[in-house]
Amino acid sequence: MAAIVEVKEANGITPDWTVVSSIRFCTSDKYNPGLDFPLSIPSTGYRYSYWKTLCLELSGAFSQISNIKFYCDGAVGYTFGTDGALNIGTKDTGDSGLPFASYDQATGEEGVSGDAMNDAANGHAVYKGAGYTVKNVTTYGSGSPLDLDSTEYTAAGKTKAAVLQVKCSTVANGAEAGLQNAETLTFRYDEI
Amino acid sequence: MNWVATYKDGTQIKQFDIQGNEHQFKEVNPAELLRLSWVGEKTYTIALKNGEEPIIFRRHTVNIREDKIMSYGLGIKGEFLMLITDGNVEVE
Repeated sequence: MAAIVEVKEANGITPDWTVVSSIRFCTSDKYNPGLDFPLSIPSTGYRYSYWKTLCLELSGAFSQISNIKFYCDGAVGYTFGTDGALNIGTKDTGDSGLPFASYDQATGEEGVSGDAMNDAANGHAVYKGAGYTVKNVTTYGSGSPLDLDSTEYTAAGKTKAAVLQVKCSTVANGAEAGLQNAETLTFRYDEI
Repeated sequence: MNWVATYKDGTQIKQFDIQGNEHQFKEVNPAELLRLSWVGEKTYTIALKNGEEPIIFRRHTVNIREDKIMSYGLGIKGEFLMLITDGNVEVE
């Protein structure tokens, strides 16, 4: 029996962890609400999805899992305007993943906008802080992935998490309404 | 590919033994290793000297749709790392 590795999303205060078969960036703390709670285009400024917390759940038989990276497949095809982005929380030094104990539930005005991850008042408890930077996920491709978790795991459990959020700009800046194309976000890990 | 560890006394531990049981790499005593191999259509082997620490892994990519092996790693800590991808070997 080999290692079993699943992608899980955290929601709620506790939180609840769900194995995800698809995720949807939306304006509620739900992993996939279908077409409910869409992120709509603002008339001015920006609107944000609720941030998403995604990790790997490790189980099965393995000696070690390590060197956990995260990246996207290049460009993100969402029509969120020229200064919109799919963002990820990063740490300026060391690995960027969110430790389990530092989980922070996504917040905002449900159905309207999430709070920006790096908002000084209402942002993510970790990624709004000094020493952390919110970056466009397209910064990280397969050739230069984000160092998400440098821990060497020798037992079942959860890895550090990637925290992601969509930032949507205005029509004037090129944002277009409608269902967006699927994007591929990838974790990479070494196992023996 | 599956790993095969060969000790200095000539004995081996294979990832899958002749009964078909799968072994974990943590069962291998690295201090007694002579050679370490990935064995598939081709075989990739490193020879170890006293005190050298092996590196061995399968590199996976996983997204919400699938988990697949992208490449195999084999090397010696502080020396080199071979990444074997679809039969091509890249040495770092």
